Amino acid sequence: MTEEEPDWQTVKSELLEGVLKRGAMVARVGDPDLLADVAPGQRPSDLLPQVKSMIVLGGSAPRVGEWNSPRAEVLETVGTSDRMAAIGSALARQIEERLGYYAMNVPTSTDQDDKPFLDFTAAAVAAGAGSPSLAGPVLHPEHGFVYLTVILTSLPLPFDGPIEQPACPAPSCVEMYDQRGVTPCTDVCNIDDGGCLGGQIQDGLVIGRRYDANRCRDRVYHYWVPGYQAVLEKVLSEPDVERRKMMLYGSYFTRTMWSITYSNVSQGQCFECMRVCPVGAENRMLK
Amino acid sequence: MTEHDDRPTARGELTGFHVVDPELYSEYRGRVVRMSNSHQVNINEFLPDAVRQRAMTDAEIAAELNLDIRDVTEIRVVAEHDEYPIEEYEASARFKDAAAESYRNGGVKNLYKGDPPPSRNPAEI
Repeated sequence: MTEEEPDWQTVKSELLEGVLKRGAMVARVGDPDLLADVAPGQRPSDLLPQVKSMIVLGGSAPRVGEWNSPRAEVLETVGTSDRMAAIGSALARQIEERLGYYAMNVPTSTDQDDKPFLDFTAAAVAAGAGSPSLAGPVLHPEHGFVYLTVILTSLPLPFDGPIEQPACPAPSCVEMYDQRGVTPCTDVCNIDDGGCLGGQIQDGLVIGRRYDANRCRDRVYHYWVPGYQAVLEKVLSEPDVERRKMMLYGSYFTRTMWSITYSNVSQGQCFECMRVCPVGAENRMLK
Repeated sequence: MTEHDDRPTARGELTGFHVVDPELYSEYRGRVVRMSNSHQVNINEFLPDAVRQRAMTDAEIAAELNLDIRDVTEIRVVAEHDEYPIEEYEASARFKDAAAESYRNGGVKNLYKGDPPPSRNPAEI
């Protein structure tokens, strides 16, 4: 007697409907083989050799009130990627315990060499959870910026595939670029003007994108590990014991230590390129 | 290690407390950073093959520069954190405050009228 093949489309629909009910705003399935050309060590099969599909979940963006706060410090302290990771972990458990297939919610922390475990952007694009953006984050056409989590599984789920119409550049950004040579994100954080982002738009497509990852990290992890290390270097090279004390008990180092101990909620500390992004902007306005 | 893992050294060697020689760091930091993911130009996945410039892995950089992969990893990680001094964090705070204020004054509504938030020149912040 042979076991009947499940209806994989039904299995997929039930799984994705479940995570959408739990709070995910985006749930798509991608083909892991589409990541064949990403850096070795950051491919799905490097993490789970049995992988047959990738489930990409997105959601948990800051609330509208947080986007609109006049104090940048509010957005500095509302990173909520851990909520997506929790939903991903629950889905992985469901796949393994109920369906009997391997499933891994890819760790969202850093690997041994200070790199991510997986090329999350490539995974999200391959699944159609959004498209790459001039600013950097994957943008969903409806929701804009979302936090991502990726579940690798040996379940042979049907693929959704990449979206056909990229979310970036938005029509208003093309119009702005034609007028001024910048988009909202490259205007607010221009790589040639002390920022992180650069690039051109030609025939409605982003070309020649430039990105200063080190400066961006210092802004995103402003009061976090990089800032902690920078202060520590200053402290260790300061010969005056009283000045060392001022540095260690001072406001910057104290704020940094609070952020580190609150972990995830304080990791995403710069949203300025996303705050001005028109993709999903209608979701960031209320009465 | 899996059969798919083509990194040339074992985890124990890679994650040990390996300290790169400061002179070696000074000599190679510029080249390693340029070859890595730090300053990205057309790195986006799914760009046409002729356009896309994927960052090199530490193993690939080590082979190219004839260095030990552990030294490359350390040079890259130290250089990534060493590029901007602590003053950059103060500038970062000023940047965010100015950006938030600009958004408050204009917001995304302006974008739809083709009238975006004003540019911020760091010299004016």
